Amino acid sequence: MLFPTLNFGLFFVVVFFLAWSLARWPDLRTWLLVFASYAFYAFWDARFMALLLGSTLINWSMAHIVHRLDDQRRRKLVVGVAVALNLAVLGVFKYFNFFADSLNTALYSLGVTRELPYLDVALPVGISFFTFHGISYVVDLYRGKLARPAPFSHLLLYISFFPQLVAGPIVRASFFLPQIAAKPDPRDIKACRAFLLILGGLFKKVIIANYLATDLVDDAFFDPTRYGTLDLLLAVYGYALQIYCDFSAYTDIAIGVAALLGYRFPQNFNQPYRALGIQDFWRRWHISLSTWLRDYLYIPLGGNTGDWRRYRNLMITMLLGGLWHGAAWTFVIWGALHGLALVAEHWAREHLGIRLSGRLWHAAGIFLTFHFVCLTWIFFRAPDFAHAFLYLDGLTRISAKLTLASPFLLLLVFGTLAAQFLPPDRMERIEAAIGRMPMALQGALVGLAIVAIDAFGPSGVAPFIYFQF
Amino acid sequence: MPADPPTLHRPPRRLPPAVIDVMSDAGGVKLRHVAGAIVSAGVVMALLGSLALLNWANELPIGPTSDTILADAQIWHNELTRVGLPIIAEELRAAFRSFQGWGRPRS
Repeated sequence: MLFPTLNFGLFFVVVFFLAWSLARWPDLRTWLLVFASYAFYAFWDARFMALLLGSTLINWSMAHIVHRLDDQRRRKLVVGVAVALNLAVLGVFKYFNFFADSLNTALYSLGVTRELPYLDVALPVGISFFTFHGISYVVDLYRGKLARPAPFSHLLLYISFFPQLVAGPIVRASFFLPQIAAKPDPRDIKACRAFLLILGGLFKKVIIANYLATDLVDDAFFDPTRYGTLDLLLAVYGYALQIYCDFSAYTDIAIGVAALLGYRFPQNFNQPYRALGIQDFWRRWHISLSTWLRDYLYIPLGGNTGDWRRYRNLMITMLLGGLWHGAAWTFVIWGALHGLALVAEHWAREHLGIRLSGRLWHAAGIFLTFHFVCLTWIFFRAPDFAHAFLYLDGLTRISAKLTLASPFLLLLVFGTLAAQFLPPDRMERIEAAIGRMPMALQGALVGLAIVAIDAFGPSGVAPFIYFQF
Repeated sequence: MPADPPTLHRPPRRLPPAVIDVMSDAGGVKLRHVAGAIVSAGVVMALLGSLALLNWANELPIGPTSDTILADAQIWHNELTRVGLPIIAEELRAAFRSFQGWGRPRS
């Protein structure tokens, strides 16, 4: 059940009215939302509901053991076991075949013909996200960010809550569980902001991401040898904007939907293509993942202790961050390139004292950062290295021919890029302008906007890119 | 005085917060107002998007309930077509398609 569909709209309206009708009975409301979330998941693949439940049960049990133990070493050991179990589930379903394939290839090149068997198993939707939620719960409890283990129903809802279940944002247990425990307030629903986020998300996904994919990006990446420099450059800009619009659309809609039910989710994107440097980029792109990796991986590895240790920790974090996105070497290279850029940036800042002040340097920094990120997207988007290198080769094939561009596509690419430089408080400004209207009129405008987006959009909506992760 | 641009040279004094709450400065309203907004959005969509409704009904799994929904959606769309409301969405779609195809290079 995709967000930009009537099926989801009807599902949400029913859940909205039922959930608020139970506002005086928080426990019942929690169970209703758990039931709705599992029903939502069953729309994708009912077989994996047991996996979702099993993952929750493991984390619930582990958290209780951690809470009861006094000995710090034993607590640490149990947390380690809990993290390992979570990662084992992820490893079996997501990475087993990747590692088996890599090992088989390596063995074959050494002359060994015996092969590791492959697993015939589908990738459960959202597994990367609910695994991270499980880890967050046990670790937050261990670190004392949660005073006590959550009731089972609260944990069920935290891990399965339908707006974030299949593609995030990654919500910390210490941020979300207290919200479930608190009684929802029907007098303070952030509706105007929620409507703006949902409409913005629908526009980004249905119009921008879909048309960039079908009219520009897919063709160029399918056979890069057919195109010259300008076409391929435009297509990689297009992909950078497609993946941004696709993923940020999902999280914007998720944040809006959760807000209408009385819950808050963290911000996940903050105009990433205006970033000045790769470190700044990762403070603006998939913020919930980058801060998660920072707090649950980079800092436990040692964080910023000493030059070489820091560089090693950065590389490990970014390599694993790349692998988190997909079980393929192209994602590992994508992570490695970002890791190397972060290391280079840290090194340059501390050893060369590079300072980018002045408007011109500032603009040059943003330009270079954007183009480096675009370069790495080629590995992220290409199905394999052969395609990625064909694409890079095509970029050097100087040709002034522009066969893919049309005024519509140029507007999509450069209009979306320009929108990255809108004032950061744009949402507050729009909300201030329309927030004074009666809510019924705001609702009518929402309806009108949805009709227009549907009219402009293609027939049928492609799944969100991040569902595969 | 304009704010200093962020620089590669100057590291932030402390780690950025792990969680940025986008709703912290948003205004809140009462449930009945939100319910009213959702109902009015639904009415506008039902009036102007009857074709989308019909297309959705057409894609439902075949069964007695979906047959009834499809028949009702067809009647609803026919009624609104007589009034002329779906033409708004159709005109919007046609204008958009024409802009989308304008100046497109032939491959």
